[in-house]
Amino acid sequence: MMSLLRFEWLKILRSRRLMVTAGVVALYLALMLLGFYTYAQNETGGQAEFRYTFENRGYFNGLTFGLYAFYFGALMVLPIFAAAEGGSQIAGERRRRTLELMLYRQVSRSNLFLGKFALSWLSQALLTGLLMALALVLGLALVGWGELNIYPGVLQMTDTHQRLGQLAALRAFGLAWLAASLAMTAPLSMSFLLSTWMRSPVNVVAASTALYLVMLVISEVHFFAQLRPYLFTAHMGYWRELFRETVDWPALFGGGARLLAFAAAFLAIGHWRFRTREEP
Amino acid sequence: MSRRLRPTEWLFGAAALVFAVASAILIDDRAVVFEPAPRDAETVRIVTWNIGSGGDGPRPARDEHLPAVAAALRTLDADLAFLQEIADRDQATRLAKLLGDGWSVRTRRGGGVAFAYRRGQLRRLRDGSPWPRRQALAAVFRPERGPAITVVNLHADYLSSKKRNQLIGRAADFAHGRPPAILAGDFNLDVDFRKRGDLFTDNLHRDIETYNYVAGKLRDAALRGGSTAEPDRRLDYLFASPDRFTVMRSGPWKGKRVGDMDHDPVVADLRF
Repeated sequence: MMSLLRFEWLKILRSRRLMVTAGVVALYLALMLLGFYTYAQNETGGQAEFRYTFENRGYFNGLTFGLYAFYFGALMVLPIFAAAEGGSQIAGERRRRTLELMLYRQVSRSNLFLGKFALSWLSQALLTGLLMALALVLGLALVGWGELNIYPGVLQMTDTHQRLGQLAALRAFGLAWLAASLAMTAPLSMSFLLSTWMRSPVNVVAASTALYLVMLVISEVHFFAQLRPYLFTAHMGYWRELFRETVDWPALFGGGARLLAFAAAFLAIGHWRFRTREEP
Repeated sequence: MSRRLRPTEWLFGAAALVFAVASAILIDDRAVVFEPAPRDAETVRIVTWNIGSGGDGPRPARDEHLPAVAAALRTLDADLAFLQEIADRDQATRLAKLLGDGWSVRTRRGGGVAFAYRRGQLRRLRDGSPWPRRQALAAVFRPERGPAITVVNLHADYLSSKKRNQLIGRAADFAHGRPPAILAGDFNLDVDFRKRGDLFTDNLHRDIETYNYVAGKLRDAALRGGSTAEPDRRLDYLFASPDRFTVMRSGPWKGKRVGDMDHDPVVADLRF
């Protein structure tokens, strides 16, 4: 089992996907930084015709940038990478005809499925950490840190004004990395499930991405609020609870549990399908 | 390959079930609605209610709806009601008659916003009110117990976020400068935590600015109450001076609309 894990990990490290995704993360952050800068220049300070504003130049700092960048990234960028990673695993091996070779070895299908999933999740967790670390370092270097202020309505992260000192905010970022990594289990397990049903990795990536985006849109539009309990995407940002002066732990654990429930269900079906399907 | 489920699959299935049950227990995002309950003499019951009719833009209250409005206010046993969409002073007089002994209704000649109150005295503030007529009304309410309260009732523009920002911002400054104060009314801005980021328009962005400007000065007394108006929007707000009031209970009081009325009353029990 250990040699299988080592082998699979080497394959992930040597694949071009990791470099491509790291490059896309860097591009995403550069664009976020540009948008952030132009917004801070143009929209704050209370324009003459729009006088009553809470925003000011002091509100925007590196921690605010880090949080905004990570929020959008964790909801809309990283799950796409998770879909790509899942698609490249089972279906990708099959397309390259390496799956049969692996199955000839003394490795059970169950171990292969679980090992691949565990290592894919680990790579996604590291990518999540990379996104957060880069966002914070960029924010520190180019904008500077300070207090983290979060206002109601902005990204819908809170319903009352939250003011976190620098240390408290960094602690929240650290915990958010773990929580957001856990959130990635849901889209990743969904793409693994699709990967056991479809033969083409391209189809898996396309289907996973499309499904994720459709469910994200549906869960974010208030018109469909009644559907949220049945869509894991409604809880992908559950870690935002950590950015509160007083964390609502039951809500946080509830969101995490909901995502794990979906992930476990996807994995149960995916495992069964992979174990029972006939390879050509 | 056996198609029967293996222990690993049972384990994942059981985990899914356990996590689903745990999340159902832990996640509680239901809106907090108001239900009338007895209160002590130190607590004032405040209500804001746009009693106008729905449709294309704001329409004044219909006379045939006044008995239902009066009955709701009497049942609620409110101390002070911030009303919007009063047609004119005559309609205010008719409403006062329907409310019965002890109730008074104060508005401008042209109607618009109005105060209905009992168990206290109300004096209109005629000077230094920097807002258009009909859209806001300021007064000092002196309940039977407790200090006098500056009260500002407003009905913001339903089309222009800029006009909303100016009216609400001025009213917030006015109330903030005269504590203890209550600022309430139909703000016509929809900032609801449960709604996430859907339909992220410029108006919403600007309304978030406006909301936070007020929330920086006064406390949102009916937070987490959810929607107050059709279709599923939170438009009616009740803000009070922070550190001067304790919110005992608050939220929209459902089921009191009649006909084509499109707003629920939003009620708060506030104790000094």
